[in-house]
Amino acid sequence: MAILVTRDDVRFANLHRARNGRWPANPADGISSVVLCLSSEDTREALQRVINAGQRPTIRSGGHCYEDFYANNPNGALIDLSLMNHVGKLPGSDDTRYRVGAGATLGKTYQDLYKLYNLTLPGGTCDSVGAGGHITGGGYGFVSRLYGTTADWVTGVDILTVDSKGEVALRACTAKQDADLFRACRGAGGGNFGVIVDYIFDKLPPAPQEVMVSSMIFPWAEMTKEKFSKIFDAFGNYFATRGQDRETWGLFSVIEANHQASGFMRVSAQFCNPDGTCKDTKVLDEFLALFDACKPSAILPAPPVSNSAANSFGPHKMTRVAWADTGAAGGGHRGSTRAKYKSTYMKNNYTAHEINVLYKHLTRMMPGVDLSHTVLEVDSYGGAMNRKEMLDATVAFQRSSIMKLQFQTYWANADEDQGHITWIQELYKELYSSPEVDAAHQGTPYPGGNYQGCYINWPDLDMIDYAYWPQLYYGQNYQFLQQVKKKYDPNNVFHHAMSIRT
Amino acid sequence: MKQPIGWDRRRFLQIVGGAWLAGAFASRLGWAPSPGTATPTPRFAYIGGECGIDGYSVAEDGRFMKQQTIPSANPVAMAINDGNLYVANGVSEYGSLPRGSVEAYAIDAATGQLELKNRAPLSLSGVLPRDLAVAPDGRSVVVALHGGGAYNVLSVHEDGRLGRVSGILKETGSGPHALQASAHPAAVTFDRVGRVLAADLGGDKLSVLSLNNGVLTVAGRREVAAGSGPSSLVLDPQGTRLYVAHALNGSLSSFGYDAAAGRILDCKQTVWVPAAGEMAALAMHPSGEMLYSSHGDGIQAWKIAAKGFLEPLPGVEGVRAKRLHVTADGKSLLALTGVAVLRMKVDAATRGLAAPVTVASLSMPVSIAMLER
Repeated sequence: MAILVTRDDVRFANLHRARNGRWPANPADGISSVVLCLSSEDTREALQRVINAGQRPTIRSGGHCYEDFYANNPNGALIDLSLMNHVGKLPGSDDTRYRVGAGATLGKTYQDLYKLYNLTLPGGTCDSVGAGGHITGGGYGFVSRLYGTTADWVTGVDILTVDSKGEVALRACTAKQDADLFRACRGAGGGNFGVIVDYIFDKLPPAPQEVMVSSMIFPWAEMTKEKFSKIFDAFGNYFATRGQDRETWGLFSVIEANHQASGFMRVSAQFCNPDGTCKDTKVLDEFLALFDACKPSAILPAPPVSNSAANSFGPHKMTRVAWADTGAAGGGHRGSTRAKYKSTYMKNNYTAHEINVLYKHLTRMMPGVDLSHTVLEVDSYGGAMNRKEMLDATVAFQRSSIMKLQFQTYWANADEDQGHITWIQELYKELYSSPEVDAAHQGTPYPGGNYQGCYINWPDLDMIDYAYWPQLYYGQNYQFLQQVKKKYDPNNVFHHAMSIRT
Repeated sequence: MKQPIGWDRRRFLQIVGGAWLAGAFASRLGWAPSPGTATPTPRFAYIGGECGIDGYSVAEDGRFMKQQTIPSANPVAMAINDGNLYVANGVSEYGSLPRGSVEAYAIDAATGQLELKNRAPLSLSGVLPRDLAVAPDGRSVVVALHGGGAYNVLSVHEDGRLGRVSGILKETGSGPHALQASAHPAAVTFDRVGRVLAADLGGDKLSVLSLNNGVLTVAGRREVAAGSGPSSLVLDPQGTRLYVAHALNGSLSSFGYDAAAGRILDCKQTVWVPAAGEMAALAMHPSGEMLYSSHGDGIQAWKIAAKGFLEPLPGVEGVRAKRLHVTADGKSLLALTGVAVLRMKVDAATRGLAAPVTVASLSMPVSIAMLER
């Protein structure tokens, strides 16, 4: 039986909050209840009750949504799947397939799959992200260049849908059963068609036996524009050329281009050979050597003094934290940080314009705006994720990219919103306003010669100001997704600001 | 639900003859304005159309004189309350989000000029609103979201400005007609005690909704004929009989309404009318003795006989009315067609309709509201 947490329950104050402290933007937009589900049947019953009551359901597994997709639901019900975190084969069953409950975090999934079967998911890069939203949005991470996206490996999705009469039913979707819905669930992102309760995998890749990790620090105090350009060019050129070779696919690397206010930039790498060992580190050595001329350091500089307001009470510095958010309770500091994100898939190395704009904004100081928790993360991409045979099996159309950019800025208080949002919007708009972007799509990484749009798991509400925003996230697959939406959710029960529109 | 009582399309046409017969219609109807009360006289009329909202002053003889045109995005429904005009914008996107909106305008009491007070977004997915109604206490507006398959409640501030959406009731449902793939709330009206009566074209159902503290909940349901598509509804002045126009099967039905319990009673009667396309309009004469309807193929006039039964009277042929409105003085029936507003005088004695005359020409009029003394 699902657990209903309403406003008069002391847990509600914590459980109703979104991880991103910006949501809900107005308290009146918030939910009126959280329904903690323990099983598929629980979820079915709870969802039916919500539908019968004329409420709108939104869904949370890990709660990492960058925008307000589950948090903005005035007086609605939040279906919380975080307790449905099973990982592995069905106990007491002949079924040999692997199941990952929608509420399982990636960290738990990695650990359980490793311990139980010596297997892994291709992944994610944040271990507290929940499988529910992550996998249906594509899902990539540390070994995705080697193995592909997680959605590429999914062979079944158990999903609760609501038919035209409002009846909830569990569908076991595969490539043979409700194949259109199954394909849509492999890349469309969460909150579109129903409540995914289980992901099913016929097989999974082996966990690497070992990996080499490396980190290179580039203090801003020693940074010049020339060095900055060299770092970005070396990284981009590698993944546009040598990084295409299969023997390099076990290399995952990130440029952590922190704003100058943070004191440093960093290039991190994780590597294993295609056989899951590190017996030969030639590829990694070769990659790291590209940055030797930029004289990286292995030691972090002292952090700069932050001017962000701390939660201080009385004469001593103290921070008020809900019990469920504490480390002891395994919490995630729900709602304690405000953030804004953007994303881009890149098909080629950086242009001179792009490097100039990035340098300009990463060194831009805005009076009264603390950008010390602001970063552009440049992830390596490509490899197995670019297998063209997955284009028709999934709706993830970005199969020609070599890098994936995640723009992030974090702050503490609502009165800092405007400064941070202005910074990230102006950077992004200028970055994609150049002769290399066609006139009709200025300001966006519209799919074409240089870009492949944006990642739906890193949604950005700013993009809906462009009439063509669906093409940014879904390319030419949007019409297909609209057909699936009409078929399986005719009453648009599942919706949010960037859900599939019909 | 009871079976229709035999007024099929052919029978209807045989009786009515499809002609307006105002002078020939002899039976007298008893309604007259109450002694000692001033007969309401139209002063200002507002017509929502393709180009926005046209404001008119209305002369004693019923002529419309255009005063103003203001931009408004697809003003599909209007209601006036306490000197304010509320307008539902039948759009599928507002502020880049999938939602419609509602506007509040101040009406200048002397000139009738409109001034926008504010425009409030509907709920996420609240696209293509079709109808709206103002609560008897004036503090809420309820909106039927045809595209969004839901109802919204917006609060109304003391100054008449619209507040935020305070309540959302999400509907599900479908029917056998091609236009019934999902729920399509199409009409809302309030009863005398502040409950909402609602028609869902997509789900073939009527609902009684309770409105408490800005939140809507379902108090009762009444299913109607599958595939009929209820799209317009009106309560009689006593609030005890509910008349429903069904857009998809060309019918009208009447129900008793238990105002005390907030319950729609069994269907008393269903009649079929000439229909063209999927539209239906209804208007009640303020006397409560006449009902006018249109399903896109002429205007039908109905005498409301004992126990609320509808008896056909001569109507007006050839008018493709999308919306009907009877002036508060009961002297005129206005019909919105594709290109004009037509006025038909209502005979004070017989309630028969005179030949239509054009009082306003505009593109695609879809909604009307009148401020009358």
